[in-house]
Amino acid sequence: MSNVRLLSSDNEEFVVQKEVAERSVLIKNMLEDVGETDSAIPLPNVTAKVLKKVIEWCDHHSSDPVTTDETERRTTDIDEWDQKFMEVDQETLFDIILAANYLDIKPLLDVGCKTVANMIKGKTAEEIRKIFNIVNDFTPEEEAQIRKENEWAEDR
Amino acid sequence: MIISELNNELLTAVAGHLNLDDLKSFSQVCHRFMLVAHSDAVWKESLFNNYGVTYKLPEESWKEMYSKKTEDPHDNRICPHVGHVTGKSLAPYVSRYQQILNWLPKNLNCGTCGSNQAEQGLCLYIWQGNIRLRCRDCAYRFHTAAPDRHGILFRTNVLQMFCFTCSRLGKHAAIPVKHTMSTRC
Repeated sequence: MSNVRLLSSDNEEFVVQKEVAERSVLIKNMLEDVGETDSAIPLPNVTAKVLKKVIEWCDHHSSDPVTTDETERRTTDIDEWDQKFMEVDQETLFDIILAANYLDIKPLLDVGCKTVANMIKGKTAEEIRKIFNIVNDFTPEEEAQIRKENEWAEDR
Repeated sequence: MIISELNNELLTAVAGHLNLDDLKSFSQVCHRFMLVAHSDAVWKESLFNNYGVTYKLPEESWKEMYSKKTEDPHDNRICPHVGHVTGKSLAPYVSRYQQILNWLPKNLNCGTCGSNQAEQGLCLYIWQGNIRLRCRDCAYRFHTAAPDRHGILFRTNVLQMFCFTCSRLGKHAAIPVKHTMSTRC
C-alpha cells in the first residue's frame, strides 16, 4: 500500500495511506491527474489541527464502501463513533465542516451538518443565537411582524 | 471560526436536516438565516435527506415537489430509484445506443437470451455499474434475482423509464403492472 504526503496550510506534513487519503474526492482526483508523485500535496485551506482530525475520520472510515449509494435514504441519526468524533468545540466543528467541503468528503460533511442541526433542534430563535453567538439583526418592527405572523399561524 | 462564516450553501445543508418547527426558529435567528430558511434549496436538501429523491419536474419548485412527496409518502408515485440514472453513468451507452440505431433492426438482440426484440423493443436495465441491453423479461428476471436491486428499466423504443420496484413510469402516471411486486420501496 503506497503512501501519500499531505501538507497543511501551516506547513505540517502528514504521511497517509493512499486509500485513506482517497476518501477525499479532491485528493483522489488530484492523484489521478498527477499520477505517481513523491512531492507532498499542498492543502492551503486546511490547518494541521483540522487536517489531523479529518485524517482520523478518513482512517476510521477507510473500509467503508467508496461509492455510497447516492440516493440511499440518509438517516438523521449519526453512528456512535462519529458522535464521539464530533464532540469538539464549535470552532473545530465548523473548521471540520469547511475542510470536508473543500476536500470533498461528502459523508464527513454530512455528519458535520447533522451535528450542527442537532444543536439547533428543539431550540427557540433566542436560544440558537445564544448557542452560536449570533447577533440579532432584526429591527424591533421586524420582530413584531414575525411575532404577529407566528400568532396568526398558531391561531389556525 | 463561527457559524456565520459558513457560506449559504453549507447553512442550507444544515437547515436541510431540520423539521418544519425547527426551521421556523432557525429563520427567526437573523436576516441571513431567514434568507437561507426561505430558499428553495432547503427543500431540495430535505427531499433528499428524508426521501432519497433527487429530482423534480422543471416547472415546479423543490418545495412543491417536497409537499407532493410528503402528502403521498407511502404510495410511491415519486420513485427515488430513478435518481440512480445519471448522465455520467449513461455516457458510455449513449454511443452504443447510437450504434444500435444505425444497425436497426438486426442488432436488437437481448444480451442475455439472444432473442430479437425488434418488435417488442429492447430495454436497458440500469443498476449501478451494471447496464445491459436486455429484453423486458430478462431484465425483470435480473431485477428480482437479488432483493436489493432498484434498477430502472429504460425502454429504448419508446424512450420511457420504468421502475419495477415502484411499478411506475418515470413520470407520475401509474400504469397497470404485469408482475405483482412484493415489496414497496
